[in-house]
Amino acid sequence: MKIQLMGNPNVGKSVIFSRLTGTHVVASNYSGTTVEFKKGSLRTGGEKAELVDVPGSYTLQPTNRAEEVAAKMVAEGDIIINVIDATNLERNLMLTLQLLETGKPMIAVLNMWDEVLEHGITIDTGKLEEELGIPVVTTCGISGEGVSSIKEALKNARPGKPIAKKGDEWSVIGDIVEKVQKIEHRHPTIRQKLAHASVHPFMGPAIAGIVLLFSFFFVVYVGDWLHEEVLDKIFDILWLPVVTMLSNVMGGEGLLHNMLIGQLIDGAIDFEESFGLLTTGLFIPLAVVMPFIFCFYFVLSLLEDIGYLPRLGTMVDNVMHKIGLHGFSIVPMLLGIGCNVPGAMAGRILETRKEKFIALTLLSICVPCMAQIAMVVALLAQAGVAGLAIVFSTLFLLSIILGIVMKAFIRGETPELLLDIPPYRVPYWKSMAKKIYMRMRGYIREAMPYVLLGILIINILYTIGVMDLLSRFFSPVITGLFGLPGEAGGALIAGFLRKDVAVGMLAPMGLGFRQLIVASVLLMIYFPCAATFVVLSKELGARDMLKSTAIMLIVTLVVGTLLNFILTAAGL
Amino acid sequence: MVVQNLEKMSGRKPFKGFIFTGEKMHKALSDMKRGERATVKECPAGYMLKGRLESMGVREGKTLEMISSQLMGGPIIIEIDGRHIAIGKGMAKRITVSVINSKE
Repeated sequence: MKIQLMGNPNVGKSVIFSRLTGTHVVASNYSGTTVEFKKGSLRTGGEKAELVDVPGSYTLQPTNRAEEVAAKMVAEGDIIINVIDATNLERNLMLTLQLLETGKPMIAVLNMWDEVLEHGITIDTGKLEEELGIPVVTTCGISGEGVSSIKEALKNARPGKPIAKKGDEWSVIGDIVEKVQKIEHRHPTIRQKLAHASVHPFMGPAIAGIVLLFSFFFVVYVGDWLHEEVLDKIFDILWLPVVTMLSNVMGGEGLLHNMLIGQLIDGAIDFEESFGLLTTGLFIPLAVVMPFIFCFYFVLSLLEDIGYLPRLGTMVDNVMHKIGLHGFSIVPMLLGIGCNVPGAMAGRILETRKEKFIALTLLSICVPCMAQIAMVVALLAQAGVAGLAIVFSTLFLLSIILGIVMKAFIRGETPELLLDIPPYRVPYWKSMAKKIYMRMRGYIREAMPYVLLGILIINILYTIGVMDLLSRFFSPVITGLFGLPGEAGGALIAGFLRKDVAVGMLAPMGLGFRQLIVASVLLMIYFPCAATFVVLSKELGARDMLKSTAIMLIVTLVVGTLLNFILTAAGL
Repeated sequence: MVVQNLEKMSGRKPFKGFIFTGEKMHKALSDMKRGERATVKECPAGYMLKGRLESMGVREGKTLEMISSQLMGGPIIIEIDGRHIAIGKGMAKRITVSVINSKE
């Protein structure tokens, strides 16, 4: 039996979904589209049923891709659970009426019931049941209250009354709402006042600035603390003895030793420079990058679940339009800072080809992932903040220039923003924890194999001398244009597989200040890592992917050369 | 003074006892000032656009309040049915409203 959760976006379907299902949840794409939906299982009346979290839609007459998929999925379900935002009854009932028309057995769930009171709303659920002809239950997804009554109500799911003819719906809804709902004026709660302040002409940007600064410092300082005080120490105390013993057993040298342990630096293992699978291969993703990724996803999930992102999107919309995007495309960019792979996948929310192309190309070139950022910060921090400032300002400037150019040359329109801004909510911590956990798990599953593979391949390439050949082949560009030593070519090649490993390779090369800056910028902009490349090709399609790659090549050559000459001229 | 009752349109309650002096002020949504309230007179033509606005709750006859006019030069934010909605400038220019409490 297939049960479908349907409702407007932002009504709390996902929270209800996670409360009703167990741990075995599968996210998949509707065939032939990039629209995602979740499936899980649910026990009801002794039977095991499939529960589907259908993409949120306002109407079954689709106005975007998600709604198209939702409209198609309706036919496939046996029972529909219509989740309604109780604080927004009128708007939500449109979908309800359309679902009633399908004649499928349904129940209605009035979610966010806890907020109804503070809005001064009273809803007569008995009367609503009468009007719609289906069972009505009230829930608060966040606290869990009422969720058990959903399973009870499912036993009584029935087809309701098809009450409205096409074109007539709003007046029928108006009648129902009048009979069933009363609204009294209430003083604005703190959350409502905060919501107003967030979009106030002065306070809005000020709040945004504070939020972004706080996020930045949280990620950098807590991330660094986790790295230095927790993970670094764990590696030193627990893992170092193990690999040292292994190294001694293997006699400190030999092919196997070099693959697994890497080079001994001054007779000892250095987790950052030895470059073995069991040393650097584990240290970089787990001890250097992971703490920052965790902090990043913590902040992002918090902002998401509180409801701040749409407000942020609205504020940056104007600026985004100048580079051919609209406000909400800040989401894939923000995600990309954690890891480019989910950022690229988030490109699916962008409706037009032009927007997708610009957003994803900018993402690959100008948005470095946390893995890179962590390594570059570690590398340049010794030389002072100035180096970091130059690197990141270059990226920022590049993104603006590139965006403006792409906007001018790519055919197509950028759609106007039309965004529902949900009220601020206290996040449901279990839902947030699950989200963070899933993102971390995704990172480890996807990143680790590439890191290990990258180190393995690079070690092999060095051993058989191919690396040397390639470096010499590219050296006119690398040395002549970019001002870097020939061996930096190895790092650039490594960067195809994993950026953090590549940055790590720069450390022992003894590069000067200017060279470190140029090398870091180059590694960030030239090509995305292999994992991102794969996702991008799927999202953009062959032709656009080729165009994007061409842009990456041109940008790399131009920026690398320019940066080198400007910095040299500045006497660095 | 002219007493006008706005008709019951699309399921909204009639305004009782509203008093206007002079003519109703019609303007584009994008021209409203912060704190002004208005009713939607006309949504832009074009099925997709009208459909999208309608499903967000922006329909002819609905009352809304301007919360933020072109924040940082960008979209306007209105409150309708207790909910905030951001609408791009271009779209907002094409929505005509009738202002209730002018703040000119």
